[in-house]
Amino acid sequence: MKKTALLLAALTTVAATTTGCAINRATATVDPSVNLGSLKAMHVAKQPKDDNGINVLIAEKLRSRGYSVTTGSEKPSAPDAVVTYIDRWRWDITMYMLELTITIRDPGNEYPLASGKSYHTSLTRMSPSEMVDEVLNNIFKEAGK
Amino acid sequence: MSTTLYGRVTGILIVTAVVGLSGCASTATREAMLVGAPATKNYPYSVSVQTRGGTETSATTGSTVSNEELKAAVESSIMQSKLFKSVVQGGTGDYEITVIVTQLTKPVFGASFTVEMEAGWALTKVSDKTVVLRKVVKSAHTATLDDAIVGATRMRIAVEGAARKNIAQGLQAIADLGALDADARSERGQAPAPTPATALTYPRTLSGQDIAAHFASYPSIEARRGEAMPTRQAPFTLRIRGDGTVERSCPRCFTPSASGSMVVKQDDAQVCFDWRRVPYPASGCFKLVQTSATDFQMRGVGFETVINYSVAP
Repeated sequence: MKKTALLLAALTTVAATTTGCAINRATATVDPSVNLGSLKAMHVAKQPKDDNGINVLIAEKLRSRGYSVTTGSEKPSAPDAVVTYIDRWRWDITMYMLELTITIRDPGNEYPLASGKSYHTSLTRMSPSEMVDEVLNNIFKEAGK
Repeated sequence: MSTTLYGRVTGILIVTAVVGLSGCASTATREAMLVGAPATKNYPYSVSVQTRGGTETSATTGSTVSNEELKAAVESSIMQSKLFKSVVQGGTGDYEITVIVTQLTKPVFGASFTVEMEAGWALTKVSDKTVVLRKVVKSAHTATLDDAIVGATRMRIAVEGAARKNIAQGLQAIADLGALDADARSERGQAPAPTPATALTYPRTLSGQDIAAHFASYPSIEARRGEAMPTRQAPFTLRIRGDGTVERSCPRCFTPSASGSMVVKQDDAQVCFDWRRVPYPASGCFKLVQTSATDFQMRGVGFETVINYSVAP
């Protein structure tokens, strides 16, 4: 019985130490043959399950960078690029965005021209707006290399 | 005494659940991601490979695909398939392949792990920076308890399977490029390849090269015995690994899981299986006959039972 209690204590310790710690990852990748500066019009495709308006945040941030941006479920006729995203949320006292991936794609064949991802666990959580900022900053920083 | 026993059983169950159902960190290896089947084309060019978007495996990421391992797997697959004449480093070849991993979606818990992978494949002609190919390749692979009891191993197998299928599809897309083929013919001073005058006619028996390319494109096949009565068809899943091993999962068979080896005899235009400890499907060599755009038959060269299967168009 004592051994079982020790085992349970060890498992609890492992679970507690690996789930509550602060982990931050932010990466971006850009196809070397792509010039993001040559794109003018982008469309942010709204995720059907997104109730947090992440598409609007992304569209606003891209507009502030000088792009002509539309957003919604319907794709306009001829954008230069389509922006997709995947947001993952977790609960820890309140809901927070755990991970955000943004991909800028060729509208013709969905080829990923550029992609960025940010991952922040609860202790270093960021607001959705800050997450969008971080991902896009990393993408354009990578593109400017 | 019974309390002690209860405690021990509880402890064992907890450990089994944690180890068996959770996916911990385990690196996807280049060997397991290797696509070994010969390509349908042999381009007379050198090529370099660069990979991006991969992640180093750690305790927090779980099993992932690293850039280094993916690059090595793509390079080895090109060498084994002889798709290009040679693989060089540092972008100094005639062409450059860029593979960008954009998504690797994994479950964190469960008996079956299905991993989905999305990667952008680009082929660039180095001399004038012409982009010859840009393609999104999506692949998925499910690892079940038949593959591994330990969750970490099962997750790694699922990740490796998804990556292996992605590499197979990416290289197949390059092999299918008419532009590159025309380029090669032009450089050899040959006339452009004639356009086939007629469509494919069925049934047609696949050549050795075609068989190898076919199985590289379809590493998981839902097959069945060639019988008219559904009750006698005994459907099974045939999984083809890159290292020449095969597995079959047949829920209605006496032995549901089995493994063996597979060899494509190119000169004889045959595919040969050697199954361990199970009589079905039969061990032996088969001709591969395409009976429609999506339907295939493996016909034994001896007395092996005919196997039917269909693939996505």
